[in-house]
Amino acid sequence: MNSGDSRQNELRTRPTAALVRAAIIGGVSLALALVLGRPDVILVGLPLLVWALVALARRTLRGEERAVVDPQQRVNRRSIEEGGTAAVTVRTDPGVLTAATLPMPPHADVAPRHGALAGDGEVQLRISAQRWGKIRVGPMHVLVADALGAYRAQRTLAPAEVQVVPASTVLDAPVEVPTPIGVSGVHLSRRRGDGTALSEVRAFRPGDRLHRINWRVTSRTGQLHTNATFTEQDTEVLIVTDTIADIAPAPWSDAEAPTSLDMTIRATSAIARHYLAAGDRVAVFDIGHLIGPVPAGSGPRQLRVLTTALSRASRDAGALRPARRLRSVRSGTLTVVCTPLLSRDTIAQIGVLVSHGADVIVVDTLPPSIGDTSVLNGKPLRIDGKVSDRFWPEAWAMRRLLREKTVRELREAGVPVTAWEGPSSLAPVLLSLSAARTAPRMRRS
Amino acid sequence: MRRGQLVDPVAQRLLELQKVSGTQWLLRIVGTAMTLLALLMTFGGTGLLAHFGTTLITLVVALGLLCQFRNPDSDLGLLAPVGIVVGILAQGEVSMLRTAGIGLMLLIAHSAYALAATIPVHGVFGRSAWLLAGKGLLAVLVLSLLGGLLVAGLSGVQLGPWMMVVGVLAATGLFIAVLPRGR
Repeated sequence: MNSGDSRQNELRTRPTAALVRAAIIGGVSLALALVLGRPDVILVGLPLLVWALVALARRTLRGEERAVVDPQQRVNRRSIEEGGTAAVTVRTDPGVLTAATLPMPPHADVAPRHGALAGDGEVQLRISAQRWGKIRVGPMHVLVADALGAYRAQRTLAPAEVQVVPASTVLDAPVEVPTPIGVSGVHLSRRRGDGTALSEVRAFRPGDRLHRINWRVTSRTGQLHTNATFTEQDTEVLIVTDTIADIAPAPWSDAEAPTSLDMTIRATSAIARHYLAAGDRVAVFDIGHLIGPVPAGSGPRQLRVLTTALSRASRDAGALRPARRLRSVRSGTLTVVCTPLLSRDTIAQIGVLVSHGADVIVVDTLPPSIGDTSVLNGKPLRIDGKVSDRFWPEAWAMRRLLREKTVRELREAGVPVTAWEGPSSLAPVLLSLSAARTAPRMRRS
Repeated sequence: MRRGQLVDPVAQRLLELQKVSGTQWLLRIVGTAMTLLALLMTFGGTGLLAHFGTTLITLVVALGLLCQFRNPDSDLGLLAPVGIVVGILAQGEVSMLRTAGIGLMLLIAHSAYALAATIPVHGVFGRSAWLLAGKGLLAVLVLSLLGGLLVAGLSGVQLGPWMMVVGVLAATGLFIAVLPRGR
């Protein structure tokens, strides 16, 4: 940076209206006292004159005539969890009254309440994230002044970004999958082989391992018997997210009620965390292309990759994104589709997945308040004290009824649909899928 | 006009008032209260509306206060202290103690408004900001006390008419030194 640029960036304080007032009142009262020979009048303006002189002397002694320290902004955490807090610190110089004002970011709380705080040389504002995604912190307006408020300068600092990772709910569900398709892992498969779960005790065959011989049965029968086990396999879990549209909850619901996108992202995060903890490979395919595809992977690194991808997503309210299609999926892949089931493209995509032989579970992420008119009790909806003429609740109630038909058809096609109600949402579905795996089947010709 | 159209903007303004921080309320109320106290000390409780002159000064001070309460950085904030100085000049001889008290009230009011102008209407002062402002004000108070004692001590000394020239020159020099440049 050359000297011209640095001079341009220097923060120079300027006199305030308060200094002008103090100088005029103090000077005028002193002059009038001298001219009129009224020493008592001096005492009225003397404190204000001293106030101005102290401010001037302080500025000269501290060398603030040329420039004051440029405010520096620092965000302590660039990535936080939903409900987590990041601190934004603005630092100047001790003895400088520093006031920082932050515009209120959407879906976040700022402390102090309205995002403006003054301190001595350093100010710290805290931002608590309510929703996942990117939070734009700033642009921050910083005002620096002397201790008396006689001189001041202002600067606007460039905005910073904080990524909010979806809350890490631990899914309360079994880790069993209907069709494990990997090589080794924790899921009990239907194939017999090396493992720990006992399948049967049978006669010893050439090639069986000696340490698996069941000596108790052998001594009783007089013939060599061995313990046969089921193999244990991992699997690939594909999470399909529908981010085509973000459906806001009904106006009468709680201000903190999640939108369909919130529910989708939270469900995705919880399911991915659950299966990654079990050692499976997890991939994400986003129909709306809001978070982008995440290739299959396993372990803590994959969890980091996934949560980073989720937190990088930005909301653009009201915008409809074009749908993308997943062309193929490996047969037997456990596929969890998180969707509000409103888009035809998503429903068609579920059909494609089923036709490819995937074990599909649909997690319904439509906010429960949508289409629920019971709270109105027959009264019209009031928005901001005015009667709404848009028939908003009635329209959504009809849409939900139409959607019930889709849900019924999916269930009839063997696709379980479960509403996302938190960490325990998937348990009954996964248990029923596991039970269905062992149930007798009709031979297909 | 429908009632809803009349009530809603009023309610909206009342709701906006909720955003005003405690710090701003405190500083603006202290500023206004101290100026009013200075006005009362100038004219006495019953003298505010005693005749046309005092009524006019009271109205000017009230107008200045109203403007400054709405916007602490307003140049019209000058009206209130000017009105009080004019009121003292119009009264003839006033005791030193009374004028010192009025000066002190004006200083506190001035400091409160000057600090209120450094933060937005919803801004709050942290503990360190209060301490910094308090230290600055304490230095001003101590120096004002010393200056006041000096004025009281020298007021009894009879000097020749030539001192008037020196005094006016000194006051002019001080005024030029203090008067802000390049606002």
